[in-house]
Amino acid sequence: MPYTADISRNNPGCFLFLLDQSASMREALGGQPGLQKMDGAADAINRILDAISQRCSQGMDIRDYFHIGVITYTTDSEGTPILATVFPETSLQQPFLTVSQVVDAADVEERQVKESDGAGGIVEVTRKFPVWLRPTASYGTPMCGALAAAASAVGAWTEEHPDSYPPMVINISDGAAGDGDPEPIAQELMALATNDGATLLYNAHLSEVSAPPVQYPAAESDLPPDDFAASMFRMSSVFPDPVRDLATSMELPVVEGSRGYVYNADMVALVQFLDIGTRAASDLH
Amino acid sequence: MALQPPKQFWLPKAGNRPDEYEDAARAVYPQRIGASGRRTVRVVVADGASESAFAREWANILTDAFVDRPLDLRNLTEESLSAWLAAAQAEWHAGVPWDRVPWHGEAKARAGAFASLLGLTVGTAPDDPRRLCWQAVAVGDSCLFIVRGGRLQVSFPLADAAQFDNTPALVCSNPANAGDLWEEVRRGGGQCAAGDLFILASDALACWFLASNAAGEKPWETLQALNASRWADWVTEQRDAGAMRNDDTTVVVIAVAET
Repeated sequence: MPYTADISRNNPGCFLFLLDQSASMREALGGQPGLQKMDGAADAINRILDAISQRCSQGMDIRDYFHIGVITYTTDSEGTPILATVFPETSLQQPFLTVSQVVDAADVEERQVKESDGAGGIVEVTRKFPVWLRPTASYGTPMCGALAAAASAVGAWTEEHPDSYPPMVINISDGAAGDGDPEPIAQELMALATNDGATLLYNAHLSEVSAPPVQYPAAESDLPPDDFAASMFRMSSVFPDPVRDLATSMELPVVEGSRGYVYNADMVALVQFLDIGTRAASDLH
Repeated sequence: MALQPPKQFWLPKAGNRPDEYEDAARAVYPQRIGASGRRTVRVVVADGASESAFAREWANILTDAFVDRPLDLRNLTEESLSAWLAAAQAEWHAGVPWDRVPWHGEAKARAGAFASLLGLTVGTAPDDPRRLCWQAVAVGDSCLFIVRGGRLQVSFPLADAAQFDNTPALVCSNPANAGDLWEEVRRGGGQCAAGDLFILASDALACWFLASNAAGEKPWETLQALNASRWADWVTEQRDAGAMRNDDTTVVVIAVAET
């Protein structure tokens, strides 16, 4: 059965995050005043990298069960695409670090947070928060370029790891590609496979259109009236059975045929979206 | 009746180093078997959950505690188990280098380590020193099998390969997260017979064993035929063939002889 490969250091998993840093990412996230999409997206990616690191932690050490990459995309004022990797000593050709390298690359901040004291009260404690990505947003959306870079990196990765759980590519974008039709490139990316199945592409569509949120739709008829929603839906993978089962157990609104697509998610739904994408693989080690 | 020296084998999950093996097993024989305490044969397997932090340490603390501070399994109560466990939990807590735990391990360390526990004692019957009896306690999916007369007589606490999933009951090193452990405790016991074969295994091998038995095979014969030089290759073959999950793998085999 596909999407069941055991994840180990010999056969690591792969997560690649693509983050749109175009000007529309300055708008409010999920209609929530005071929280810009760029802040929410950066925070969500930092949180999920933290969660993956913690899942691979044995206490003092990290087990390198995953290779992780983050690619950001925007343009300059002339519209020239600017694609960049977030982690040090990575490139568009090789954007991945092992989890232990990702851990080493974090800026760790201390913040005061309120937690339950376990006896019905609340205490303020100092906790460490790792940060990899800082919010920024300007100009255009070269999504085709980002997907092409992802396809190139994932293609090389699948060749090197033929027996691994298939790569997962998670794209957070306003959905309005400024450099052409992203669908054919997305289809190319989704066709790259290991012996355990094809690459999974999930999309968090933070639209410029103010329409109600939609989570994990199974049909185009479930989509809001947004010119880009159908295209983003079609370039999102159907959840494999093991992922859908996990999403069901997390009480997420999934049905047979649900795709890894959320539209105008708020912060909670965005974090859940990244969590379901990465947790299904994490549970296999 | 007498118990032969145990055969004990282990192998880390493929891809992990030996120092990352998070199962633990110990077997201790007294010079002369009696009815209780240090006079009993004590055999224990614990399987540290790799999702938790300092799980290897916790599995080792539990197995050491089981052989060094014998539990009276025949008269086990919630209170006696809690008291026994509290000392192990304190030892685990004292062993964590809290001031050096990196950020990625902090939350997990605070939550505590988790492990399955399977303990077996064999001693003389309280009313008849010529007879041997066994007592077992289990939390989680490490299993005890007793083979008698060429068939599987006891399968404890699980009896079906389909019962192995990703959410077994576990013993936690943090009392605050231990839940209602007594609810999860399974106990068993009975008489030993000459020729009995006791097999204790962590989940991957236990699941293989039950599937093999259900298919009409005699997995105990395979295990009896194994020796130290053949063990690792055999497990690797099973893993590669998809017959055994790639996980830390541990087994202890003890035969009851006539004298």
